Amino acid sequence: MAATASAAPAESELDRSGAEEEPRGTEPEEDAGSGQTGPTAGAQQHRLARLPLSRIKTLMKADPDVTLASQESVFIIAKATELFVEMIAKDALVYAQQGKRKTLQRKDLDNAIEAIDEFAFLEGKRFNVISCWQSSKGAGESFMVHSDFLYFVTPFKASFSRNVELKNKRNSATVSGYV
Amino acid sequence: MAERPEDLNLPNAVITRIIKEALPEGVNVSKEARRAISQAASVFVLYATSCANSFAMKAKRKTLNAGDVMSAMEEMEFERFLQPLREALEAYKKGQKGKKEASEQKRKDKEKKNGTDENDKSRDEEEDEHMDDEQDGENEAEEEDVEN
Repeated sequence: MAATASAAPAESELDRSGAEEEPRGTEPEEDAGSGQTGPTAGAQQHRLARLPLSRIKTLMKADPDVTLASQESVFIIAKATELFVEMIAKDALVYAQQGKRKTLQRKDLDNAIEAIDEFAFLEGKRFNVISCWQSSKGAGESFMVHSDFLYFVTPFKASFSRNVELKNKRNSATVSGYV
Repeated sequence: MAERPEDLNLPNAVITRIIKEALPEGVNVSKEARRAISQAASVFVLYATSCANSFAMKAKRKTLNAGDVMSAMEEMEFERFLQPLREALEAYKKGQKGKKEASEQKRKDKEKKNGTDENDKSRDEEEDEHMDDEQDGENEAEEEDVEN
């Protein structure tokens, strides 16, 4: 009797750690290293994803169309975001070096965004309100930047059909403002 | 849903560390540039999520999975990320598998320990009963002697 009672919490722990997906609204402890059995396992998880998975998941769930996201998808987006930060920093550095500067400035980022196709989604005038991609219904959704915070004026909704126009004409980039 | 606005920002310390590790030594980053990169990263997460979600919806699934994100990266023209992401995913899967096995082992050990405790307990109880029986027998014998 006692054996089964004490085994129950351990089983629920396993279920929680092994769960592939969480319904919207539930906030699991997904920070790297939680529930680790040894110090090496914890360190390995920290090396894998430097950005906190819980924060990434919160951002992902800000899209009302997203109902469920597997742990793997959250991890990959976190990893991709790291790679993106590295990439944009390195590309901006090229412009800082062209100006014979050792300090990366905002204008270097703007130059990199303007020049590199992959950054088209960040392109546009420096407005406070970013008009996001038109949804399939044609309603433009937007979110606002206020001081350090990024918050939504209306729910974020987007469908990304990267049309030929975007590739040919830089002016037709769907985002009209960049943070 | 994110109730607080700060939940939609990525931690500045981590972003700064990633930037510093990506750039050569001696290169500084202005505060404004750092903030812009951080906010661009947040927009990237939203962009990637929405793009991946459209792939999941096309496949009539409600759950975003790793494949959707990979397809989204291709769609977003970040093909150069695919290889490092695949490698990272493999490492992550191994880590998760190890974690699962470790917790399974822990559970088994716990069960085993509880099982041995139970056995010890029952053995002790049996011995106690045995002792009681012997004592009862002795008491009965004494009573008989007294009667005689």
